[in-house]
Amino acid sequence: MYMLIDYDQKIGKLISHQVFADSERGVAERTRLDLELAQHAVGVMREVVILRAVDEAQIRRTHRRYFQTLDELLAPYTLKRHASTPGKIEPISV
Amino acid sequence: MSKPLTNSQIDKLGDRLRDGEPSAEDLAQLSIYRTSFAPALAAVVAGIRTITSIEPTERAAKSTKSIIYKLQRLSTTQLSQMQDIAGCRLNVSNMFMQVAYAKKLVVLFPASRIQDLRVQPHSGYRAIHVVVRTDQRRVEVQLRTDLQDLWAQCAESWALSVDPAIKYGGGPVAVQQALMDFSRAIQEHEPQMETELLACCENPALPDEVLDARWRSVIEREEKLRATILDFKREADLRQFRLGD
Repeated sequence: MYMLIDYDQKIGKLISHQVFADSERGVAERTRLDLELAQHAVGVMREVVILRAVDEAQIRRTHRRYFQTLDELLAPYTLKRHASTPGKIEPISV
Repeated sequence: MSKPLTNSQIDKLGDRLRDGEPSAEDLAQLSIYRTSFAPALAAVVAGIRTITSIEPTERAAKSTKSIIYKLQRLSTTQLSQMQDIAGCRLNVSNMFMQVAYAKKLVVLFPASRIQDLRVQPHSGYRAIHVVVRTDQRRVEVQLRTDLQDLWAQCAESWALSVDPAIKYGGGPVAVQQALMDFSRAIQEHEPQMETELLACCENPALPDEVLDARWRSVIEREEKLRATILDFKREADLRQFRLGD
């Protein structure tokens, strides 16, 4: 699936995101151009980007900065990350 | 179907973008140019799927804003030479996998170039990039470990919310210092983690409690890294930097 992201860097916020099927790459690209032209018409230029992944969850993981605050980015994550590593790891308090 | 742009047209478009006030026609031309990377990116992603079960996240094209910022920052760079218009990202759990996939990609696409940014970081950014040349286009494959990705996401987040220059060594000095410290700490930690991983794998007969203890120390070091940068972020918030929400 494709995801068209419109992110406002000035306020650090995701303005919108639209999802398109894998077969709709052309539609996603036209929508991006339309969005850029609409912003251009009113003198605005935001971060408009198209990402593609197997599902939305992957995009939210590999491009977390669009969806999470820094506090959320830095939340404890290592237990999940090391779930497949050797040894039996019990949760640790942070 | 739109007519492909010549290199000369692409570079003239780049010069107009560099001026910072693109016309609607320029945006339409840039869209055509970016779309021309689709076959090359598809070929690279198909290649990646033959060497790993990890699905990459594709960025079909760099945003207009990022292209303009890069053209302005690197005043001699031509748009036709920009190597990260299209790309994809693979996050892996350790540096062994990172190196292995980079080497496999070069075997698969011999006209590729490896940029090892782990040894010589760019303003603290560490990763391996493989710039693949195929279908007369360049596609940048970013290979990051989870910790390298965490650093990059933090830097991107600060760049998005405070100052885009942070990604390139600029912006508030305190933020730069914190990111550099964080990067160096990860750079020191990752080889230690790999050593522990190897030791655990090579000594399967070790009792569980020993394995647990060794691995727990790795996790605790990572948590300390995370906590350190989070503390800085909170302190910076108090100093009224505009960081995040």
